Amino acid sequence: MNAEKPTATADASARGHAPADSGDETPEQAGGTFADRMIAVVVILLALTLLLLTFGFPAPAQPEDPGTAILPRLVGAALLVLGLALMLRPETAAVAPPRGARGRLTASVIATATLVFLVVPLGFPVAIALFLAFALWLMGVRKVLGLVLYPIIASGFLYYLFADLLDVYLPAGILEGVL
Amino acid sequence: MENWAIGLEAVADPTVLLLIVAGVLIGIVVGALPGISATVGVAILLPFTFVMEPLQGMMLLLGIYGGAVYAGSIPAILVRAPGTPASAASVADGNALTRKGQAERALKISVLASCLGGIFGVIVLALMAPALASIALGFGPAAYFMLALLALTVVASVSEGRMVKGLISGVIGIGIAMIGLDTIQGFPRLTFGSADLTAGINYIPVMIGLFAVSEAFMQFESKAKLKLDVATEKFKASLKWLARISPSGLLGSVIGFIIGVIPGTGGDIGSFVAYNEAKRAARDKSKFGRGDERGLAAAEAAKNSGTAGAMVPMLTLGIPGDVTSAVLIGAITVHGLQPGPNLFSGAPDLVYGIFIGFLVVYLVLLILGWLGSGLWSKLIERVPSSYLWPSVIVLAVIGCYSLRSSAFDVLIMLISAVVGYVLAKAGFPLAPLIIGMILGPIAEAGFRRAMIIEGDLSWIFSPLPLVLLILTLLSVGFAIWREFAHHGSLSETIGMDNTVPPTGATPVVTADGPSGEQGAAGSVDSEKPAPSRSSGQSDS
Amino acid sequence: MTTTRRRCAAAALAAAFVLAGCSGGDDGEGAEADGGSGSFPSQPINLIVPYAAGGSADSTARQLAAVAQDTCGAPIIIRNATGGSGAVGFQATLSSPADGYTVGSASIELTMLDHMGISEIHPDDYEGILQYSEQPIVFGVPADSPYQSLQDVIDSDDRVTVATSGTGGIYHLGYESMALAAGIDDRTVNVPFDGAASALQAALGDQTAMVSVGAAEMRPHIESGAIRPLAIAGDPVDYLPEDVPTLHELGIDSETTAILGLYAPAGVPQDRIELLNECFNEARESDQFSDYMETTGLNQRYRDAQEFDQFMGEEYDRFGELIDEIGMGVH
Repeated sequence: MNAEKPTATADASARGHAPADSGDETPEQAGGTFADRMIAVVVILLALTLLLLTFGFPAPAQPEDPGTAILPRLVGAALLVLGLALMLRPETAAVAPPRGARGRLTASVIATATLVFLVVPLGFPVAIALFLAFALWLMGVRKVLGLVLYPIIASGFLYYLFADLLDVYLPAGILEGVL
Repeated sequence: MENWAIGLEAVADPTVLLLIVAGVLIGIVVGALPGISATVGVAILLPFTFVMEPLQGMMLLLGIYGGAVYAGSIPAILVRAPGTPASAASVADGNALTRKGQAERALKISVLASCLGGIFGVIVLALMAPALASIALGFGPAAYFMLALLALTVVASVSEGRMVKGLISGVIGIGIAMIGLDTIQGFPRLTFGSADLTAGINYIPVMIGLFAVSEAFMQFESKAKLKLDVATEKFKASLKWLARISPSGLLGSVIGFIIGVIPGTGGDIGSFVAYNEAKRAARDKSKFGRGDERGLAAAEAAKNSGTAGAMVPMLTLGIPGDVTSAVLIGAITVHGLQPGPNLFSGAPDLVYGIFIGFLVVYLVLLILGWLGSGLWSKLIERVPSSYLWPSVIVLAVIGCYSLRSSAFDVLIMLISAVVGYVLAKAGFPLAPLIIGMILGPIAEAGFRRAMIIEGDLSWIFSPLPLVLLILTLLSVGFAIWREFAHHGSLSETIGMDNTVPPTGATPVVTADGPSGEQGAAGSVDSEKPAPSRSSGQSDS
Repeated sequence: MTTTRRRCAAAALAAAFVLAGCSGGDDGEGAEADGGSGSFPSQPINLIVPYAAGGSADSTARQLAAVAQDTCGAPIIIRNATGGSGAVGFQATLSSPADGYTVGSASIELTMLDHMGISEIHPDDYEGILQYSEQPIVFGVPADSPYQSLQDVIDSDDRVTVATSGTGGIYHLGYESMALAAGIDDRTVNVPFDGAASALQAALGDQTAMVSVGAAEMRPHIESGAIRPLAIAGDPVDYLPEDVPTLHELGIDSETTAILGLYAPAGVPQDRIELLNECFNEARESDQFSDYMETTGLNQRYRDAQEFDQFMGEEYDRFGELIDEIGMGVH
């Protein structure tokens, strides 16, 4: 017995998410099997690479041990089969962000990546403060107070909480010696 | 009987009670921060317990332990970032409730179920600890393998309607866990000479990146417009509501405790299995993955009763049930006491004091958590998303770095976040990936050790592995039956979580081909512009 | 709402109070930096522990550091960098600047990883600061085992499964060395587990015939009667029953000891090494640390910087041969 449609609609309104963004959506994003097919290709390639690599694995150190290659081969075989299955029957999905959001999304990912790479050299307090300022701006915060005060306070508080209270080692980077 | 009196007397000391409260508070802070888990909190305060009386020290640490395991669900429910690994199973349904404006309800379920699980666990621990020790010992490598297989079937259940994608997710998880030194042979697999890869990929940064940071990216994409129309519920607890979630809570408690007793398996595995069983036992499974209270209650109860379960081998054998209890052992031995049967007879005030104290921990937690949940949910409503999600990313970075003082872990988190974003938008369930990462190594190690010990496959027919094997086959059979019985059922084909993004980009899922794959009814899509992240297979 | 907020704020303050009070001594905020004129050490010292929080390496390091903050006059910041049987932490230490402000917690694996192809670490890459502990390997069987002594094992023709903490770890090599010397290495089977506790669990559950772990780790189970110790691969320790023979007493030429110590990357000026040795040794000799070591059952064993260096060099050579003999070498 299928109760799909009533459930779906009931849920949609219960979710409370306004379709505010559907306006952003351009027809091209409405669907496409590209994503699934792409992922399937990647999966198959990974599977083949894995299987290839396992042939360089050593024999087991002791005779009763099935060996270090068994699981990788199983995984490789499974991924191969599943990848093919996905390729044969892809579903439609829109993975790419709608036109208006693309820049923002890319910027957020790049900003996060920059944060990740700069936390050690720059130190946590500075890197976090800079990231927060940029991220807030990206999210649409325009009040100077928010863009300046919150990053400084938040990074200071977090650094104190972790490095001092919780005794966790967080490099202070360029502020080394000051804190 | 008099042991209980001795224990009660020991706990009635105001210092002990103060330490319990302090411990719980510290534990909540520590547990709610993603990446910092109970182990860190306990390990850091451990040296200070050396100058205290044994019971006092243990109570501080147990307060931290219980508080942290509970509190890990707070960020899991609110922002999809599990504060501790055991809360991973609560992300889907918990966060779905938050999106529906029911954050307070979800948090209160978490408190109640956690305390129910904890109290249940402590009572069973207290009454049956020595008897249970033999369960822990009876679990040899063969049984571990079978248990891991059984737990892996959760992947199938969670991927209903998206079997291929769910399985890909799970197998990828197993694959990621293979990277590093092979447990049995010590051979570096897939490490390409990198010292970091040789150490293996830690599943906590993966989990945080996959669930939380990917969500943050999606929030950036949608510029968090979603929150505008969420009408938050004014939640009032009622007896009827209690009655509805209690059975799952109880079920979760039992499952979580048993799995907790087995050394090396903990709340993370127990909560997934409990969730799965609650789903299986439910008549109306439509909301599992989309905010079913029963699933959440089961997972929450399981993770906390698991901590009590982990104390069984710890107290009776001196074998840690999980990483945190390993540190707790240190707290006992440093006072010249040895865990084991002698502990029970030689220091009844300590042991029974621990039992009663642990109960008090959960009572304190109940009060603090209940009050706090109102606070947290208001917080999540008031804080603008524009501030919230950048902060989540920052917390994720700090948390992942703090695990091993490793920038590599943070990099893993970043990669997982990108992967999670892509997979989620393409309709892949993400929980199977984590499940695969946790269980893959256990399964492989168990299998190979069993083979080494026996020399052949005869271990499959030992009683315990055999029983588990039968359960596994039943579980798999059940999942297959459901898949085919509902062949042709349309609409929600979305897997457990992170399958449909909350943005305007709606995946229109259609059935391609005559059999097997289930598709969404096209007509429903117009209603789904920003659906909740976690959707479950709806059927009746 | 305001009441709730106030209540919660009060609770948070209380927690912060406790935390601040507790951590005050731990992270060295109370320790005064010695030598205002910039003499060593004038900055916090990093101590990198290659093993997880809560293990014996980590716990002893933390205890030692707690006292050393006073004796050395600088805060000591502990970092756990785990993975690869210690490789990750070792590499982290060795690649840090050789100025004396970064030291590492040493285990015997430092001398073994190179031979097993896990990580290239040669004795020339580091300088010992001091050794503070050792524990011999002990071989045991479950209480209901038919073997009453190691000789029984040797005499029998059985295939003997031995639970160890992992392939290539010191406990594995320890029993292999014994088996080689006793001539039973073709009958023993290594069953690697994740750490000493899991290995002991396996033996307790009768999953394996024997177990090979450190004396301190086996001690609680010996005292409870669950495990019967058969032999000690080193010198006798006072907390084990007196009738447990050492391998040498049994005529088996093999000895394996796990150690704990501190080291620094090569190139640190000699005077700083000396200073570190002095202040850490002072910490080691303190009542607080000695009491701690006594209750955990880890033997204190001291070697100063030069002796430790020499010891590690010798162990490196010895393990090179042993690992090749066992057949696990890659060179």
